[in-house]
Amino acid sequence: LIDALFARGELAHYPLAHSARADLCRRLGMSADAAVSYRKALELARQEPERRFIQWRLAELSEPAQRALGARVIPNVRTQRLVLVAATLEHIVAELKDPGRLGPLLGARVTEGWPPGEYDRAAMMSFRSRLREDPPRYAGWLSWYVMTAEAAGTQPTLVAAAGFMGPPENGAVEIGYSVIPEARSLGYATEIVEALTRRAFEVEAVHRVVAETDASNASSQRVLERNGFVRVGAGRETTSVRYEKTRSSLKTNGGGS
Amino acid sequence: MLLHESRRAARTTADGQVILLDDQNRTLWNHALIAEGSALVQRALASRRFGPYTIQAAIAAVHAEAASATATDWAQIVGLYDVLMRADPSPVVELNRAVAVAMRDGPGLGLH
Repeated sequence: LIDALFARGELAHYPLAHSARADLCRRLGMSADAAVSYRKALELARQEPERRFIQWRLAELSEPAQRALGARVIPNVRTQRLVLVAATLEHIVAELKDPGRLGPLLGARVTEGWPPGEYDRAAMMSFRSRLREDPPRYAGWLSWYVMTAEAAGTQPTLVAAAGFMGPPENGAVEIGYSVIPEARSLGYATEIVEALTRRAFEVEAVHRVVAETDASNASSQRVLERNGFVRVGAGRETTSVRYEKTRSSLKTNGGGS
Repeated sequence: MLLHESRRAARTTADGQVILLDDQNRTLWNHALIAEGSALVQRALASRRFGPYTIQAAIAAVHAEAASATATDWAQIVGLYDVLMRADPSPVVELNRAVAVAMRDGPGLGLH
């Protein structure tokens, strides 16, 4: 019916008609069509709350739709045993509704232990609001999902939440990681830190990668030291210690890792 | 107007962002205003000399009386838009009817 209206050339300048069409396409799973209509609605909408709403919906569309719009999709990072996927608004919105919804989006098994440790609802909501606020600025600089790589006969499993506390500031980024209880002591954290550090230094503006961990957490400190991080002093919290790895250390170590 | 006013508290977030009808907290709606508005609509419809505004008010009343978006009587809303299309046809009314059809019969039928 709506397409017939458009076919008659009516309502072409009415933003609500485009967002209504976009909404139907979205519910039908026609993400690329939805994206085109939301974009048209956004061009026409004049009221700020309406514009903001359309922008949210646009940002929540799936990856193929984002690609159709020419948005930058952050490539996955691979290690020997793991795959790291940058969290998108679509992931986080789904996860906040029900962690089980992450499974189909990531193609991975989501176990009882999810979400791990410090990756709690408050963290998800803060990532969600920053991704909504400015997707290009934050994409890839917040949380990443870590799952086991596909191997013969096994289904990938979500094993950790990791990532950055935000985009580079004064040449530095801070990393964090939380492994689910049932996947600890397997050396995953070491691979995750290696992957995040490598990715951070691919960006020219990054000169230092920082990590903070609890002074009593010996295994986490070993993970950092194994990756060439050096303890530089006290952390933000009374019980935390601060570690750093500088770009210049990469050269003296002949590439690090 | 009473029926639109009844939803005012539920329509935006504390910082002024839009909340869609679907997602509004219906317990925030003013049910005294809804009852008053619905009674006025019924009286107007019973007079048999109603115009487009009465039909629009009747549509608002059906929305206001539903406990949730899915519990809304979408068939009745489509029917009221059919009446409105005869009384006062416009592309916007046709669009709203299409959205109601999508709610009644599924998004595919609202689109094509």
